[in-house]
Parts: sequence; C-alpha cells; structure tokens
Amino acid sequence: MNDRKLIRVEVDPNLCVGSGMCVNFNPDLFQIQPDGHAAYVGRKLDEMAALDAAELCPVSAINLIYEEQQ
Amino acid sequence: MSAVNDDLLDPEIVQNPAPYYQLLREHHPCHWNERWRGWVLSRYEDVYNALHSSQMLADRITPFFQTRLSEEERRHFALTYEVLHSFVVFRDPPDHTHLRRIFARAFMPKSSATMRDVVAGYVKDFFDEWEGRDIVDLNRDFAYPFPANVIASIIGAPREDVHRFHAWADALTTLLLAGVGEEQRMDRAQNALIEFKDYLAGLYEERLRKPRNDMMSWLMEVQRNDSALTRDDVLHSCILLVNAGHETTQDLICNTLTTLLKMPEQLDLLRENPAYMKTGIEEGLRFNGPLKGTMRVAGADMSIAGKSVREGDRILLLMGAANRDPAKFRDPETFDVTRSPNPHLSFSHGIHFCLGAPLARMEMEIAFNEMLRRFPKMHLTSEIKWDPRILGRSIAPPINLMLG
Ligand code: HEM
Ligand code: SF4
Repeated sequence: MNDRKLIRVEVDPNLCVGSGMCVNFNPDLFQIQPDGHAAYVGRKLDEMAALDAAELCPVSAINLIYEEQQ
Repeated sequence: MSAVNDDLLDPEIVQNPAPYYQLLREHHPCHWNERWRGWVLSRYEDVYNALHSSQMLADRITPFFQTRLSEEERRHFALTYEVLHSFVVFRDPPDHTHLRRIFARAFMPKSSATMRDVVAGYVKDFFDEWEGRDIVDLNRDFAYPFPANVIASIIGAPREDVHRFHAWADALTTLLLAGVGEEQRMDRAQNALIEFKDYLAGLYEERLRKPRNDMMSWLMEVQRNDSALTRDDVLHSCILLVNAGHETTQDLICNTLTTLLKMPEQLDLLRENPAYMKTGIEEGLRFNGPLKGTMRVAGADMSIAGKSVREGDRILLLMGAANRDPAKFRDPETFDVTRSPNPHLSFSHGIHFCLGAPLARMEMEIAFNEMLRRFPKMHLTSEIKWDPRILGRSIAPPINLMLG
C-alpha cells in the first residue's frame, strides 16, 4: 500500500558534487545545470527512477518530497 | 622573469605549502610552471570550474605512453597501459560514462552495511593488538595495512590472502609514479600486476558459478546486464579500487590524526561531542587532503585567468590551494573540527568525484571513534616530515605514538 503522493524531486545544491551518476542512468530526468549541480528536469515525476537515482547518488543529494499525509 | 619557485619539490614548499599557495592564488592564478612543463591553477573557482569542464581531459595516460616511451618500451609495457587506460579515473566521456556504471551497484547504501562490518572488524583487531603496547607506529601498525585489508576483503579475498594485496598495491603505485627510465622498477611492478590480475580472475571464476555478497559479485552483476562491459572491465576496476582506496586513506588517517594531536583543544572538542566527528573528518580532508592536486590535459585552446592555454597542455589543479582560498573559506588557515559547510575539493568534483568517498568516510569515522576512545592519552613522539611529492600529501614514516 502506498498512498503517498510524490510532489517534487529535489537536488540539494550544497551536497551535489556534479558526479553525473543520476544523469548517467536517467538522461531524460536529470541534467547538469550551468553551475555544475544536477536538477530534476523530467516533465513527469517518475518515482521509481527517482528512487533509483537517489540510491545511486554518491553523496545522497537527491530527495523525494511527498505531499504531507493526512 | 618569474618570481615563482617552479620546483614543486623544494623542501620549503613540501614542508609548508600554504605561503606558496597564497602567492599563486593572489598573483599567479594561472601559472606556467616551466620545470613541470604545465599550467598550475590554485584558486577555488578556477579549480572547481576545471573539474567541471568537459574541455579538461582526464586521460593523461595515453599522451604519456605515446610521447614519453619508445616504440619498444610501449610494446614491453602494453599490459600496464591496457590496465591503466581502463581505469575510470583516466577516461573521458563517453567511455567514462559507460565504465563508471560498473560501480553503480557497488557503492549503494545496501552495500554499505556489508562494508561497515568489514571495517569495524579490522578496526577492532588492529586496536586490540595495540593494547598493552607503549609505542606504536601509526603508519606501519595501522594506517598502511588497514585500508588495504578492508578493500581486499570487500572485493572478496579470503582472509588468508589479504596480506598479498599490500605488495600488489605498492606495485601499482610504482607504475603510476615511476618516471621514464625506471625500467627495472616498472618491470617488477608489471609482473606484480600480471600476478594480481591472475589472482582476481580466480575470484571471478568462482563467482560465475556462485555469486556472493562482495564487491567482485556486485561489479559482475552490473556487467552481466550490460553487454558493453567485459570481464576485463571488472578485473581492472577491482585493481583500480585497490590503488585508489589504499594510499589515499592511509594518508588521510596519518595527516588528520597528527594534525589533531598537535591541537589538544580540538581533540577535546571531538571527544566531548561525537557529532563533530563527521565535520572533523571533512576538515582533515580540507586541511591536509591526501591529494594536493590532480592533473588534466586541455582538450582545446582556452583562456584561463587571462592566460592562453593551448590544446594538449598539461594542467595541474591544486585542490590543496583551492581548499585554503579565503574567497571560499573563512579563516582558511585555521583547522576547525566544527567547520560547516565545508565544500572542499579533496575528493575532486564533477564526473570524477571519488567513488569511494562514502567508504573512506566510514573507515575514518569508525577508526577515529575507536582510537580516541581506547587510547585517550596517546601522543606523538615523531617529528612530522612530509614526503616530497607533487600530487600526494603524505608523512614520512615512522609516525611513532606513545599510547600511555
Ligand atoms: C581519503 C581517501 C580518498 C581520497 C582523498 C580520494 C580522492 C580521490 C580523488 C581526488 C579522485 C579524483 C581524481 C581526479 O579527479 O583526477 C578520486 C577518484 C576515485 N576514487 Fe578516491 N579517494 C579516497 C578514497 C577512495 C576509496 C576508499 C576508494 C574505493 C575503494 C576510491 C575510489 C576511487 C575511484 C574508483 C575513483 C575514480 C572515479 C572516476 O574517475 O570516475 N577512493 N578519489
Ligand atoms: S548523482 Fe548526486 S552528486 Fe551526482 S550529479 Fe546527481 S545529484 Fe549530484
């Protein structure tokens, strides 16, 4: 049972080191920005892929933000 | 006329690089070092941008083999070239991108529990052995063997073989650091490399039939599902892990502990507030990181800090100087275990960001917690003398500690 709703995928710019691992596996969803940090750019929220990317990130900079549960 | 000392191995610079770094940052941010025959970058912003630039190539192995070795030497050292050239750290996209995927499974959180057990086991063994002794050599009795044992066990070597990894790790260091004309040393090192690869091939065969919960099996799992990755990629990647994870961790242990032992009030802060252990380790990385610099090759003509850099030029990125840049760090010459945030570049940045960073941090945290708890009275009885190296920052052994 999973009724939590994903509303955003965030990359913490203070943690992200621009390793590109998230981009490497999901080039449609993540991109490196001009400042060297990654951002989630997917038009749709892909929860499975975002979870995978969060696991892959060597500095745990990727956070999945869920809607507050009632 | 240049006011800059181009001898990067000048004892004065090696023993205390800070004034030299300051001179470079303030007056020669992009400096042509005639002796080293390359450019030297020292400001945080420039080093950061270079690490993130796709025009800065990491393959410094191919130019070395092509221009510095004779035809005959090249043939003789073909195997060395093949292995070194397949290390992610020396590759550029798109090959780098593909090769780096092989580690995807290896450094995930679910692997870290396995690694934690290995690390904690060795830490306990080493310090049990310290009990009852008055004097130990931090390097010989812990910092040197510990990371080699850890990585050997994580890769999957049985306990009785772990000691063999020490000599193989040393051989690799020789291959990477040896200069032209040191054929005998390189020969011996290449033979050790052949032996090492044979040994790893044995572990690989065993795991084809029966995967285990270890690094070799994690790499093989990725390889199985990716037809572009080969058996050699797996074996060479294990060799890279031994090389990348051994001396670096060894130096971080020695550099950080000796710095702390000279600052009792910082050591007390750590003992009284275990939460500072994490920030303290980052400060150790910033202050005397194991690698003062890394190298790149310009992939195109470019202008850096007003200087014209040509395609093919060598560039030394001084992370050690960037880490003390007052434009980025407040009181950069002060060692502060509570410093946060601490965006040091000691693990590099960008696509080559150290894959082993989570493991290195874990090794440090477990080891330092245990060491400070069990040997609260330890103090340093050796003079600190830094080894003359261009890239590495390491202390000449022995590093004697009085435990009582
Ligand atoms: C304190 C310890 C360590 C330090 C300071 C360190 C530092 C570095 C640096 C600076 C780089 C990038 C070099 C460059 O950009 O040219 C790097 C890359 C790498 N490190 Fe570490 N390292 C440490 C420990 C480890 C450990 C324990 C492992 C693995 C067991 C490891 C595996 C790697 C690998 C595989 C790369 C290549 C990554 C790539 O090129 O994509 N390192 N490390
Ligand atoms: S994997 Fe993590 S550190 Fe690497 S680019 Fe993505 S968010 Fe940044």
